[in-house]
Amino acid sequence: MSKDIFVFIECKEGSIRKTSFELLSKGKELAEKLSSELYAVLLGFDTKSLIDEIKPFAHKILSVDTELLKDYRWDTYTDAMEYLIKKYSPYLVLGASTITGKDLFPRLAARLDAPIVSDAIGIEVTDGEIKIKKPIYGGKIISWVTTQNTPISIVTFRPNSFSIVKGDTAAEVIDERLEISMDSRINTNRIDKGGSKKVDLQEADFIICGGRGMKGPENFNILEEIAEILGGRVGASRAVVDSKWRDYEDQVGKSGKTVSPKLYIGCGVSGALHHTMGMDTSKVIVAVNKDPNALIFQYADYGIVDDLFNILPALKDGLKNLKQEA
Amino acid sequence: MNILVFIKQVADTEARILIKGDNRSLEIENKYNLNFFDEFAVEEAIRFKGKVKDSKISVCTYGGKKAVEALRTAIAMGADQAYLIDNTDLDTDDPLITAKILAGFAKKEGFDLILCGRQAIDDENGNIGAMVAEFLKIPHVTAITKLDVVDEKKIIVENDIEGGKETKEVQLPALLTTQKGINEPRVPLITGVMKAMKANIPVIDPVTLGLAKESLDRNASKIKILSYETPKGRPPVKIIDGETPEEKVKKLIKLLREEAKVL
Amino acid sequence: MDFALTEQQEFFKKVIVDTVDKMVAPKAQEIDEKDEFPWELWKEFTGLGYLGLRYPEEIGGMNADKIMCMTFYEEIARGSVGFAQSVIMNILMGTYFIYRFGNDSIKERCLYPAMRGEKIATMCFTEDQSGSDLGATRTTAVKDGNGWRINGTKMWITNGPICDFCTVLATTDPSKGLKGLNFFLVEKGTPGFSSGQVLNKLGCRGTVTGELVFDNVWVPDENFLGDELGKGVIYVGDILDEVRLMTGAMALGIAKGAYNEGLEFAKKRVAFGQPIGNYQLIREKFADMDTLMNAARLMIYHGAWMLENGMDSRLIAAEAKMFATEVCLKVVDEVTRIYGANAFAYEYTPQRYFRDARFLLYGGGTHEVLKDFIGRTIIGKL
Repeated sequence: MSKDIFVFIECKEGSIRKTSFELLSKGKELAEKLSSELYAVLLGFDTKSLIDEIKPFAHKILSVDTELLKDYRWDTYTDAMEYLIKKYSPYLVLGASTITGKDLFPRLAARLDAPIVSDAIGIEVTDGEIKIKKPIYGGKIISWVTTQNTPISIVTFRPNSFSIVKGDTAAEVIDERLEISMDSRINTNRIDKGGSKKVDLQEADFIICGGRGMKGPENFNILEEIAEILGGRVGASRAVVDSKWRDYEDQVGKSGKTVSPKLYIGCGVSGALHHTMGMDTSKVIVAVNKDPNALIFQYADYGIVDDLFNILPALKDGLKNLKQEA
Repeated sequence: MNILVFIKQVADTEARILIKGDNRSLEIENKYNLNFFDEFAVEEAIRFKGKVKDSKISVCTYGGKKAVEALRTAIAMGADQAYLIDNTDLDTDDPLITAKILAGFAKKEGFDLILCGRQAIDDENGNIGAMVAEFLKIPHVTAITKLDVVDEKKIIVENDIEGGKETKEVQLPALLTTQKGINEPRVPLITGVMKAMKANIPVIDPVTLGLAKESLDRNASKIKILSYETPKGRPPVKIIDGETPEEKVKKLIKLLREEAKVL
Repeated sequence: MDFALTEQQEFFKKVIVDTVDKMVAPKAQEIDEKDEFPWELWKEFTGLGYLGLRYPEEIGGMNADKIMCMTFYEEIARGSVGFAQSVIMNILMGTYFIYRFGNDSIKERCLYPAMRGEKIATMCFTEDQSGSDLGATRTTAVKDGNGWRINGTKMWITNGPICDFCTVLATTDPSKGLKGLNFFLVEKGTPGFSSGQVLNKLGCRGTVTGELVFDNVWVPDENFLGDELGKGVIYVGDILDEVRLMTGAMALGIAKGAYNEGLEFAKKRVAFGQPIGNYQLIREKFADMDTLMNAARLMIYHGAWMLENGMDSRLIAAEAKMFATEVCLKVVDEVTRIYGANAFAYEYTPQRYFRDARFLLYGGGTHEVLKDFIGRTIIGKL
């Protein structure tokens, strides 16, 4: 039985998402352990320019390049994935737990009658058993899960779960052609690509998050400036979103997005459970709050007890200087 | 029109959760709610009913006897009927099984529109919606933030996509999962609460939905929990001292560079 | 024996808890600070229909049993006792006599709008010189043509200054003492009826409490609320147990609210390197508080069950009210100790519970009067 691994490559605005490289890196490590092949699966239109980027990360690249796959749709993408999976019979299919991943993989799993573990943060393969690490109950509990009664398993991971390790392979490219058609029952009218937010919140390495202590929407400008210096994103607590100071898509927490950046800075965030559930897997957490009893300090690695309106300008200058030196 | 809403009763985010001695089961404090994202689904169904004449809302869950409370909450809000598919002794961690059961119920009950929350906040999977749609061979749209009725056969929805929103025309029957922002779930009126208290909620044995009993239990499950553990706590916070904000920030940046190595 | 709530009662409790958490609790601090009647919340909350809690479904009520009523009183007081006072006044004492004795026209004018929250009701017992001692009531009602002429001043009237109608206790014959007491309906706009001083209270802020003045107020015969003259005190007896249990339930609600805050604080506040909840002396406080609150809860709900089943609940109601209130005082005190100096700051919530708790000492009978009643009832006439 094959022990090959598929990694679904996700693209955004014509380039490959960072999280796909993370999955390729982890996939490669697993494939080596299993003495099997790692397939990067690239669906899309006019993707030739992307192929070279993937080559060092995979053993093989399955490319389906057709206009029908230009924009992501579950119907066409599920068909294409189903075709490739049936043809190559992989043992594991890895994807990202992004908006696209959450739409595609459950449908695909049902189509294939395959088990799916979603929103995982780690994976180990030992003695032919797959062990998947997945936080549940908002991160209060870590579960270790395996699959059984199946030749194939699908796992999706939170972005930023693995580090990127560039390999030295030169993957063989296999062009696949297949018949797919769009489901006529769904007709996309209009795509509104939001603003020009550079990095996806879930993929950002750096998130600076504002809470109620920011006092008003106008004060988020300085957070934007700091985020820009570090190439990160601004997040918001539920209180902030509920007060309509920021959009829901910026919300970090149980009812918003789950993030695990390398560095999270919470400014005027109290640290209510529904918020910390969405960020407590961040690598390093910094909290700025004038209340020394704020719950957020229990989750933080570093804390500053001070008025954030004093700290933020200093932080902005400090980081700016740091970037200029570098 | 037949509107089905699939819901789940989940542990309150504040509920105390302990890992039992076997490391394979959990002890959950008795504080349960209708899943956060499912409230939006129930609310949207009620609003949809207001727009389309002769609509009926049936709410259904695959859960334990206690889940009747969440079903009553949906009736209190405005659903017409509720069904409990009893999972006693069949508790599974495999969404495939749950989705097959719910799809079986949908086939039996008949439907024009199915709504459910975009994910449950306990297992945080978010798989059921798309899976049920696949088993029923109907289109699905995840994480919708707007639903407009064109006619009895067609709706227009807006949903979250990477970095933006998309508007789609969808033919019914279809399945939609609801995202925060689509509506403000109502607080039930006392008339609804009274109706809910009196409501007769049929309990359905899952084997009557066209699935063999042995295909529903833990042995048939394709997913198996190996163990639970509590996440490793962080070391205590280092509070950064300093005379001035500048000094504190300077120390912080130094620590982030040299100790945490993230800058 | 069966101590379990039915599945329906359990569900009702869940709905109330959620509704209070969503609508009332987040506003509690603001209501207390402003000390103004929260009209917006009143409209939003009463729009849900809870003011008809005790009344039959045929007239738009919920026909809730006494267990459900206690659940409601407890939970809404947990959310905001300032708001709860006003709500419960419309539900219970403010409308009780109107529902029982009012004719159709009075019910149309007063009861149904009050059940919908469109009119604010109140009940006037207390006077400057009389509280628990009803026999000292000085407000008089004298027969005058086809009606009654009322003179007097009432004090400590919940909702008084904003009420649309009130049920007023007056003596029709001072020589008869308690047997001369009767109830009359007085509606806003009646000549001579006005509100005087508004009290600046230590707790229960947000409820408007004050003086009502009856200066030669004339009301028609239909406004006499009773079957026959002189039975006012008997009617009071009919509702007294429910009022006392309700007061106890409110005390339990305040205790629960304070306790929850204390628990959260004990888990998060770090002292000497660990959360204070790790220290034995703090744990002891929770052991004590939980024990006392459970005991109070058992008494109140046992009393409610007796009342619901038509048993004699006079002793249990008085005892439950007294015990629950004392428990409440103990709990709010402990919570202020857990909070340390923070409890002394208006910014934090323990001070609010601390102040609110004291109000319940007086409503439904002072503990001195209650103890005397209980002792007298037990020992009997020797």
